[in-house]
Amino acid sequence: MPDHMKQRDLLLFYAELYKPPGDAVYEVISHPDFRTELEQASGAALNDCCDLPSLSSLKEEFRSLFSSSSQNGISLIESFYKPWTTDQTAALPFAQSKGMMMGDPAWHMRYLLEEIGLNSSYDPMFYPDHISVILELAAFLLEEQETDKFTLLVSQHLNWLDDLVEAIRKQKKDSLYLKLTELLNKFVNEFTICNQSFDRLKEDSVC
Amino acid sequence: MLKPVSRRSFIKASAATAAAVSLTSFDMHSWMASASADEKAAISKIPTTCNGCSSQCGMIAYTKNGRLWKLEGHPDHPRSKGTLCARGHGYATLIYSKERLEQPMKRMENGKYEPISWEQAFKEIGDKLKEIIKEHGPESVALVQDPRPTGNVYATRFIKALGSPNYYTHHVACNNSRDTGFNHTIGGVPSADIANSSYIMFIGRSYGDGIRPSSMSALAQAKENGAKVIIVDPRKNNTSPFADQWLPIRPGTDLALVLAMAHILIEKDLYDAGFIEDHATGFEEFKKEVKQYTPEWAEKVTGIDAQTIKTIATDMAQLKPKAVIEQSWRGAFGCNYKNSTETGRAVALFNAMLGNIQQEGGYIFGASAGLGDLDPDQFPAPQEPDAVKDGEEDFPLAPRGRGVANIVPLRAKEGKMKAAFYHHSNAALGYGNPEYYKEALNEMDLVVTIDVQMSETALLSHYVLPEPSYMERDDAVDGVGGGTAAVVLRQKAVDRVHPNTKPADEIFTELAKASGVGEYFTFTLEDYNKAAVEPLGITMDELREKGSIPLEDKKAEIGTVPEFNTPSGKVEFASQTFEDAGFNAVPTWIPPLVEPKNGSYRLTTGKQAIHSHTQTANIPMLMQITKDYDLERLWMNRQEAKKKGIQDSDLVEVSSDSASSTVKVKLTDRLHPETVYIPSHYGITSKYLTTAKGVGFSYMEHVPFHFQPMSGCSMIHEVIVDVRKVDA
Ligand code: SF4
Repeated sequence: MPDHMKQRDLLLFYAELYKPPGDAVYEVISHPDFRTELEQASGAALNDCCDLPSLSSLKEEFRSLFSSSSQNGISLIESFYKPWTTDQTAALPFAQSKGMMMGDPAWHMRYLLEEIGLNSSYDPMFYPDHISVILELAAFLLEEQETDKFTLLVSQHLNWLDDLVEAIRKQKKDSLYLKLTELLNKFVNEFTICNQSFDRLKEDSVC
Repeated sequence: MLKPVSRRSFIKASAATAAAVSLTSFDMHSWMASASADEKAAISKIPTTCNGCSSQCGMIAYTKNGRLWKLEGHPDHPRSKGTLCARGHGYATLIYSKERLEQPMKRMENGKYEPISWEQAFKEIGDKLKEIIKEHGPESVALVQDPRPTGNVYATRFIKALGSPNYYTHHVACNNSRDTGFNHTIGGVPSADIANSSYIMFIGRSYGDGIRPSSMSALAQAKENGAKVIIVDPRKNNTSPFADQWLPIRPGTDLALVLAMAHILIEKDLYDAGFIEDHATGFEEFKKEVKQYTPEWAEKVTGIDAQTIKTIATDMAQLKPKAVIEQSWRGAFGCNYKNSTETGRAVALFNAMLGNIQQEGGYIFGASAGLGDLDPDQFPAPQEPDAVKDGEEDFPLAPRGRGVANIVPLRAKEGKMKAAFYHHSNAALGYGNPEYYKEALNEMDLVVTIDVQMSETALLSHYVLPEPSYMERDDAVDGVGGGTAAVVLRQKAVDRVHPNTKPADEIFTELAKASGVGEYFTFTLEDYNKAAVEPLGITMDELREKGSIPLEDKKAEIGTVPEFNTPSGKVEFASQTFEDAGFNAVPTWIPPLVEPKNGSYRLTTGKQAIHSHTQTANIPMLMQITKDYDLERLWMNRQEAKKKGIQDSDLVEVSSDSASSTVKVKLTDRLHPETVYIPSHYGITSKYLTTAKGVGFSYMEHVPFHFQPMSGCSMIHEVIVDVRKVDA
């Protein structure tokens, strides 16, 4: 039986990881037990990686990889990796294109957050389908012991991490973010394969 | 250990519970299926306006659940008349583009941009501005924009509030030369009544390339009525399917053609003598001047045979007043040549000789909407600055309100202009030589860009302030002049995608407060809008519902010649104003500034129907059309290419005194041999615009930083280039 609270903490750690780094997240990754705990919580092994950068280097790495203020900033928004809408009635020339904001995933995420009662305080990071928001919602579902909903959320809203991993790899092969995202991807993949989900759902609702 | 101090992106309401959502709704696929089909997911219909180009056509945005779902042309808007063009549809992609500006940014000492808060941005900009004004005076500050309704209200008020007269627009690289010619001749720029005309000449202007839906339908209507259409253009442009004749004129010689046509009207006594008698001055001087401009002379200059010139002039005279030389836009004489202002004058005067002004099928001065304004007792307006706008003394004929925007980098290099605001304007790529702009803007103490994407100008700025896109914000009420004037509103149609953007009205209001002139910005956009519609007897609720309302009591009066907005109140064939400014009172032949020699070419440019300058270059689907059809290629005359051993789609180097570019070539018989032609939409260098960067080259890189003597325009076609095949 997996430890849901450990997994919740794992998700909350990752939610922090994909925001501009500060002291708190740095304290975690520089802790001597970090790797062990991470691997334990995720049930997967971290690929060998680079030396731990200084906090200022980590900040610069985050900026150059993910910030919209850097050229070629990698998107941390789910919609970007998926067709904008599956609504066949949308009569827009770009309706089925990829690479755009506020696609179906954002719309669904916004609905979920509103219905659950998780309201946005103002935060520039707050795009409903930003990876951090998805991870935080996933953590909340574990807290609430809503494991079926957790599995659906993770398998449907984090099934684009292969693309994110690839995008990071293209820009920086020896990035800490790459190794950590690969691990998150392994963790998430456990839930995208139906027969390995820890609280199996009815086949027709997931697969 | 793993759980760090969380900065959660959301706050939990006390009753927050995942039980509020069913498992089925957590399944995105089933939720999407039911939400899309949900009858209650009402489709809203929001009338607004396109921002794909300066036409700002009216459109209906249909939205579903707060997102865009469908677009249509607004049936009551005078420019769309129910239709949007392809780039208007494609441009809407901008709303959901990843490559938008999302938050205010500051250029750090290492040259990189870092996100900052709005509070920090306003404070730092305001403090710097106050310091600059204290030390160098308000005339060391300028504001430049490609005007849109909110900017027309707020940006102009902001610069005035600072005490600076230095307000400028993009027209320096658009139609200021033409307008300078028209303004001092017939007092403004009317529109040709194309639909009702029997004989239409287009000089450089191509409805099939620089599309406006209403113009296309007017031309189609004219053709249906049997109108004759002549295209004068070194390039057989995409209006040619409508044309009866293409005159492949030598570039830069349109003035000679029009002067020779005027010569024919005078020589054969074919002009409207009654109109001239009643409504014109200086005709005798003009007559004397054009005596020398015979068709035979013009043939040598233009390459168009004398008989064709005679025939066209005579045919137009026979059909007057339903014959017209279309007024053009940027076309061939908006800002292109040393002689463009004179071409503008000659074109306006030729139409006057046809007596077509305010006549069906001729030139029509439209009615204006007559919007109201804020009550100055309630909302005090800033005083007119004491100083004269920089550039006005150098170019006294240029349109006063718009000014000469390229004065800003010139004065920056001279150390006189210290701060500049660029709003909805990519001046550094579009108005003048980009290298010059780069050097000049780097000299300034404060450059601020307000835009939706990281343009080349933004990349030369100390601060970049992000606006929401045109469909995520309300704009100021706008009036559209025309046969029937209209009042129009651009309004928010979809939810804001980037929550940390601010619309221009808020940005200028906050900048004003931070700069110590907040007392002029105590009104809201809604206050302004109510004041704007008040004299029209229309409420904002009505305007919000309809989006575009034709003003039936504001119609152009056809058949009655108006008093002209010139010093004499008449058509000025001879202009004292021109003479006072040191130019000839009557239009005179002026050769282009430079001439191609020994196998070199004049570099010319123009529009393609799928793009708007460089504004649309980063829209993936529009750029894909470019890539699919190699639309970024340089056009070259087939015979000329043969002489140089160049074959279709070869890579060539285009070099001028200013730059060198490589691009693929398109060989064609549709181009005058003395010119090579490059579409004007390419050559983006901003690394933030990844779709557009690296496609084609910008003609502006080759244009020297210079000023047209009469209007201050950029003279974008006064460039000579060599073309050679690049060895594999
Ligand atoms: S002409 Fe096309 S791009 Fe321009 S405003 Fe109209 S629809 Fe939009």
